[in-house]
Amino acid sequence: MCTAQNAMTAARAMVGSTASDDAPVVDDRELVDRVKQGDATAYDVLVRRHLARATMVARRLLGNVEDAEDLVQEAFIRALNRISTFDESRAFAPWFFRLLINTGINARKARSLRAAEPERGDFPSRAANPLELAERQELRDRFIAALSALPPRQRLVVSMFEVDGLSTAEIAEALGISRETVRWHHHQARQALRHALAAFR
Amino acid sequence: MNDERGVMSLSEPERDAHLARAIRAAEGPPPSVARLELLRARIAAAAAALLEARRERAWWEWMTRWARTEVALAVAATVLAAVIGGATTGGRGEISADTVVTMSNAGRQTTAGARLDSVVTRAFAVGASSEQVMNALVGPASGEWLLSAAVAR
Repeated sequence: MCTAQNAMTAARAMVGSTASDDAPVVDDRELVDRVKQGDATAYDVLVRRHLARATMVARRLLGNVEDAEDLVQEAFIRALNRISTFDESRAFAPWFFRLLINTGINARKARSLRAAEPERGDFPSRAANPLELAERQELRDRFIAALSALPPRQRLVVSMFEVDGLSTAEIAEALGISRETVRWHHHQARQALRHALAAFR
Repeated sequence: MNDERGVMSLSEPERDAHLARAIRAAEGPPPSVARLELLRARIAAAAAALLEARRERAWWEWMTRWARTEVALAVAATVLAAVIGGATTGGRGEISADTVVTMSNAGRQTTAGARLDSVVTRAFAVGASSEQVMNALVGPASGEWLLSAAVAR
């Protein structure tokens, strides 16, 4: 079923794009309908569309890149296996991310994960001299420790809200919890992280 | 949601750009396009057999949906061919008139299946070859018989 339209769609579905940051050429629901018939091109477009965000969410859950990639693969395959049960009147992304997060939380409990060694970027600071560099390192370590100490859901909630820019309603749907619970998790996480940053503000 | 004193509110919380930068830095850079492409290929390979199974299932479901219609059409076509064959073989003389049921005799039969059965049984009873029977039922391969029959009428 590799039609010209499908090929064009695949080409235009940027790696890492999400439903929120570009206007999809083909709606997720239409893609899901085609995946139900076994259309490999439609499945590929769905994977491309949600892959980058899924990888980031998985990394937050599991703490390292390799486990995160295994989780993302497992989640996409599970989604394919369960695609017949997907209610097409609802959006695909929250359904898929809920599957991913639940699988990830179970994986955390079930298997021993590789040691978490997050790749570290530049920490926000205007440090230049040795003293400031040392402070910057201390800040980074302190913040990473605080972030790692958060329960998985709190860490996800604060990252999805602050970094990914999702609303509390979207996060609630993805995690399968109420908006109030999302706000509570966000509040707790933000307090802990702000506390870690407070001395350096 | 809440302010610095921890008072919860029902409105959407304000976003904290400084906190966002700190989290982003702690999480490290997003995965590279090359790495994502490798992962995408892995997923596609793992999904190939499942998608193939879905395609086969979809085909069989389609076949099942249309099977009843196809069988009904096939039966109707066979009966129609038998009726036309019965009406035209008399004129062509390949099978004598008393070996097949004519249109008027066929009209007395209650079902098309019974007519078809009668044509075949009686044709074989008088020693007609299987080719003659087939010619009587669906017409010879040339197709000229149809024109001849039409002119004879």
